[in-house]
Amino acid sequence: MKRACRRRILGDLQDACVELFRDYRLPRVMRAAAPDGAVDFAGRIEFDGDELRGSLSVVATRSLLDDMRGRGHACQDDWVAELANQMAGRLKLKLIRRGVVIRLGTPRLFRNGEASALARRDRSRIWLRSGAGVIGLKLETIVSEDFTLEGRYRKMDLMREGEIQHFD
Amino acid sequence: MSKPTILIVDDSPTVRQQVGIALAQAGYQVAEAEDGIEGLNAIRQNERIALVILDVNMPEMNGLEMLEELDRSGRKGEPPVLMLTTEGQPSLVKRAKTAGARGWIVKPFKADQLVATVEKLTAVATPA
Repeated sequence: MKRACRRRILGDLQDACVELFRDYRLPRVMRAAAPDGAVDFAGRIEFDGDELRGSLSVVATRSLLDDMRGRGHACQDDWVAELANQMAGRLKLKLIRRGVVIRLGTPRLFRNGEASALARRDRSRIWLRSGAGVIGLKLETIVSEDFTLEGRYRKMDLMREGEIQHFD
Repeated sequence: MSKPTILIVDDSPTVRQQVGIALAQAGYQVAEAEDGIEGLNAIRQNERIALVILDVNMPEMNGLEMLEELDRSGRKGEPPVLMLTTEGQPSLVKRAKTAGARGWIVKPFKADQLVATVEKLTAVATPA
């Protein structure tokens, strides 16, 4: 993939994460170092499309869940998989505005040893911190030879996250 | 008079819990299903379900497939269905609308807005 395209996708992914945490009223997201210890949870969602396919995985320490719960959010152990799902949804909408359509799969949850193994395998993650929570994002992509990604968002009448549309 | 039963169909336990808490606090009874197949079974077995809150991307049978199965079986809009999903792709929204969905919310949801939408849809579905 061309370097500019990859930069745009990773930028969109990071924006998706920042926006999602803002919507959950979590503290501002900042770059962080990889945690010293093992990660406790990982969520992975695959996507495919005519020009772009791949997966997004999100790994997190238990402190992320504890932090969310401490802020009054009900969340169970699958929360990291649901975060991956919601981040992928946001990324999908951003990619549509750049002229690329993907289909999302269903998120899968990994715990403890499996989650740590996933984190070790993908060391080149983007690590982010919000409050006491640390998460690592990894986007793996395979693109077609003629893959392009528009540099600017198209003006489109797309639904926004949190928006409600009534059909009557 | 007690408020009606709402069926939440989502493969995420966290989402079912978050939606369930919001609805229970507003006085609704809540039933849950993990995918479209369980959702269809729940509707067929429980005539008291007044509204379905339905995710799109789920294993086994996704939300759009479940909605279309309801349509094929002559139950379009019975009970009414509100989509709650990470998806916002126009073609998917259109597909749900065609199959009889009454509304679409892109996650994450705000509890008060969700409850207001549920109030509106159940009031139309079950007039006093």
